[in-house]
Order: sequence, then structure tokens, then C-alpha cells
Amino acid sequence: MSRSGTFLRLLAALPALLILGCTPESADRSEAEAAFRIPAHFPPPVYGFGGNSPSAERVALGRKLFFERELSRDGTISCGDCHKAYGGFSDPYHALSHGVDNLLGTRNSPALSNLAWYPHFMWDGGAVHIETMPLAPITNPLEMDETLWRVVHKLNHEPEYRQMAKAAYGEDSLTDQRLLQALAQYMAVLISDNSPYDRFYKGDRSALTAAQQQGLELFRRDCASCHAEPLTTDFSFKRNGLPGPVTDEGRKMISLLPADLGRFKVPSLRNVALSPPYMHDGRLLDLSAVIEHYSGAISEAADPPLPVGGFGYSEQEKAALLEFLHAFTDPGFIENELFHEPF
Amino acid sequence: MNTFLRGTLAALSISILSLSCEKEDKDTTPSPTYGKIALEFEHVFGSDAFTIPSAAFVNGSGETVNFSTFKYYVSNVKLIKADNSVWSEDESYHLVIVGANSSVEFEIENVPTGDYKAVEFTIGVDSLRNVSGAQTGALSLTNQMFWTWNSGYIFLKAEGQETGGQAFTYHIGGFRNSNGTNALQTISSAFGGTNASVSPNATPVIHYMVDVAGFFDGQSSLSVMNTPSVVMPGTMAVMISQNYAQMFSFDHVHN
Repeated sequence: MSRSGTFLRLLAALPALLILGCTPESADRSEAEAAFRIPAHFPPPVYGFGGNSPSAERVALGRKLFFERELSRDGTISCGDCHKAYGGFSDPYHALSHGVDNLLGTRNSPALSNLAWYPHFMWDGGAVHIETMPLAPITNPLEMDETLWRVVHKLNHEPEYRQMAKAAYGEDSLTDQRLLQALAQYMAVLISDNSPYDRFYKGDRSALTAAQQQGLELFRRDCASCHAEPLTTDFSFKRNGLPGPVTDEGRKMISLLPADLGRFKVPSLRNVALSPPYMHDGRLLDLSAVIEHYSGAISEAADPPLPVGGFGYSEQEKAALLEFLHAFTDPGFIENELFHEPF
Repeated sequence: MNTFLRGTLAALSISILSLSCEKEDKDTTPSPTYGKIALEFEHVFGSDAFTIPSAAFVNGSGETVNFSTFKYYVSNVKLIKADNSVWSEDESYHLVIVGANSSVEFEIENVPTGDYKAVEFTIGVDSLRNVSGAQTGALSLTNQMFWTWNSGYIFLKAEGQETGGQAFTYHIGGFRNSNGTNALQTISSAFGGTNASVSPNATPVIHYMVDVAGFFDGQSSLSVMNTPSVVMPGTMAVMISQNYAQMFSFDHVHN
């Protein structure tokens, strides 16, 4: 790598470093952002960007790619089609992901946020890096069914992509590496950190209603050992006691460890009220069904400390939990137009 | 005045530059010189040349097989000098793709001048690069040597069919020690008396014979009919990697 190249990259990184350095941590962040930052109440991120230092141009390129249907074999499906902003960047209409040729995938499209904090991705943790993760849906025959080489080839025919590549990375054509790095930039700025839960977490006692505060207490007693705060997941793989035979090996497909049969990643609960249906296969249609599961339907297959049978919540506790789960909804994140499909 | 100042400054900086150049020139220590070394892999199946698409060969299970694809990573090349010091190639990832020519050769640049007595490399990709995000060059994710649903490089890809019509697909890789699926194999060879002498005007070639028969019968027996497909990390992949490690035998150095 040439010295001037290194210098240019440092220069390019400067604005982002400045942004990192002086993030306003006000409770009502009124001005929408689409830049990487580390919320004060979050742990250090996993993704360090490496040779892909953050910049507005790179985020813009990644955003365009995220909503680019040419990522699929027949030009019909983009990332954004199964990760809709109003669904907390999930697909709130479908239990299983939809792919090209009306094909159905095997798992539920998860909500997206705070991905720079993820040590692995997807329900089974099979993708281990934010840059290589998009290859999974791009190449899955039941999802986009395309090859990375063809995507790069198709997009380089479009002058707008060449211009954006030039602005983002200094060369007027996309390479496979740059394409994936730009997608990672966009994915990394999808930061949800200003829900009522966050404001309460940071000390604003008025951010949650009395019922929500009761729900939070139950959550901390029964759920937070896996849905670890503040990211609301510890990224471990667990059997949560869904009844019925195991039809999807889950984590075992990746780890090959028999004990991982039927285990899936503990999902983040951020914007959970917006991202039905629930569980790896989308079998539970709403949050009430999820609460009923944990209250009274946990099967013997569950990993400890989940109690077989369930936690046995009263109706009043169920209502408090339901109301609390809505406190993970972050309107500023969902409504941030800088995250939406560019036109 | 301004112009004068600028001129003076320019002259000063030029003299600083030339000063520093002079200093280098006067340095009595001879600056190190570099050359290149080549690694050549000559593929055979038994006593016959092995090319892609391949002729029909009979494996140890008595199956007649044709190959349509044979490619693998050679990485982290280290050269050992006569004094036992080790030089490691930077960004050392090479994708060997067998085609119409049975021999595949690549050069390694910026090798310090000297006599080398041994070489070491791995077949596959080290664990760190398996988890380091989007790469370029030999490790580009467009080379179709990466598992997308279970992140990791395919170390060796062999495809073809048995003449009865049974297709075989072997995508071998795996980098995790935690569950015993690490299929990275290390090949190290001493040149046995003949050193490879690298200098700015001499590029020695380290010549390996790669007997693909070892893929099926190197250490254990692999039968196409019994196991036509291994496409994920696991014990079968590790077994096959132990087989293909046996394919490589150092033949000679030509200086």
C-alpha cells in the first residue's frame, strides 16, 4: 500500500473521527444522523472498520446498495425488501423470508440495528463478519440466488455506481471488496440507541410508564440473563423451549456440536414491537403469543435457566411485559430518512 | 519579499532533501538486495500428467474418475535460510488453479538475497483471514472459494464424476480448532543439499510434484460411491485434507 494512499485514507477518516469524538448525547436528538458513533451507554463495538474507515460517501454507497434489487439474480429483491424500516428493518408481514421466483426461505428475517456490535450474524451465527455477512442472502438459492461477481459486473455498468464508488473509495469502479465494505458502512450506522428504554437506562426516570417499569423488573429477573442489556442480547445460542419436533438444526449446522441441535441466536429485542412475527421460524404472530410462550408453554427441550412449563405470569404481569417491550421502539431510528431507500 | 521567502524556503527544502540523500549515499552498510523465488506445482495422477478437464484415472477404490475442477490455496509461504533464519512472504495467499497445463507456477517477490535450504507453506487459509471481512486478490470472495452461509474459505475444491455417472463434489475447508474441524495442512520440505540461491538476477524454482492420486488414497481411502459429496467443515473434510497433504512431494530446486 502506497504512503499517499494511507494518507488519503487517514484524511478520509478524519471527519468520522471528529464525529466519533464529539457525539451529542442529548436525550432528544432532533437532527437525524447517518454516521457511525458509539453511544455512551453501549460497550465497545466489535467492528473496527479496519481499512474501511467511515465516511458519508461510503455510507451513501452502502445505502444505495442495500436497496439495490440487482443484488438478486432476476433484479427483483433487495436487502431492504426483507428489512423494512417500519418493521424495525425486518419483514413484518412474512414468517419466512421471500426470495426470487416466489421461493420461501427457511427462517424469519430478523430486525436490524447496532450491527457493529455483533460478533456473528444470522439465526445460527454462521456469518462471522459484518462485511461478509451479506454474501449469505445474496448467494442463497432461496433468497437472492446471485453471485458476487455478477453483482459487481452488473453495477459497474451503471454510471451512478461508478461515480459513487469514486467518491467513496477513489476509484471509479466497484470491486467486490468495496461493495461489501460499503454495505458494512451502511449496516454499521443503523444505530438504535434512543428508545424510551435507553432514556430510562441512562437515568431519565420519566421515560417509562409505571407499568413499563414493572415490566422492566420482570425482564431483568427473567430475560436479561440472555437478552443482556443494553444491546438486549448476549449473542449466545439457546433452545427457548418451543414445543414440537426440531425441524431446523440451528446452531448445530455451524458448530457441528450435538448439544447445539435446535439452538438459535438470542435475538436483540430492539424495535421488537415493530418486527413480528417472532422466533426463528416466525411461528408466533404477535408479542402476546411470545409472552404466553414464556409464561406457560416452555417445553422440556429448553436450555436452563428457562423453567420448563414457563414463568407463570399473572395477567397483570403479562400486560406490564407487553407494555415494556414497546419501550424498545425507537421512533427516531425508524423515521430517520437517511436510513431509508434513496430516491 | 514574499516571492523571495518562498524561493528561499524551496531552496532550503531541496537542500534538506539532497542532504538526506547524500547521507544515504555515504552509508557504508551495503543496502540489502532482493530477488524472487518461484514455486512450481506439477500435477500428476500416478505416472500421468494431470490437467483440467482431466483424463480418466482409476482410484484406489477401483473407481474411474474424471475431474472438472481442481484448485486450492497455497498460503503463508516461509523460506528458511541456511543459517535457520526465516523469511515470511507478506500477504501470502496464492490460488492454484489447475487448467490445461499440468504445471502451475507463481513467483514470490521481495525475497532477500541469500541461500535458502527449506520451504514451508500451508494448504488453505489461516483462521484469522477466515474472519477478517472482505478481502482482495487471491482471497477475493468472487473466486467462489468461500462458504457464504458458514463463513470460511474453501481450502481445496475438487469436482468431477465417476464414469458410471456419479458426480463428486469436494469442497474442503474448516478453520476452527474448537470443534476439531481445522483442515489447514502444513507442508514443509528441506531441499536436501541444494540451496535455492536468490539474488537480484537469479530466480530459483522450487519444484513440487503433486500426485492427485493422493487425494483419494493418501492416508485413508476415499470412495466416490460411498462419499460423493463433502461440502462443509467436519471430520470428513479433515480426513480428506490429511489425504491431500500427502499429494505434495518436493522434487528439486533449479537455480
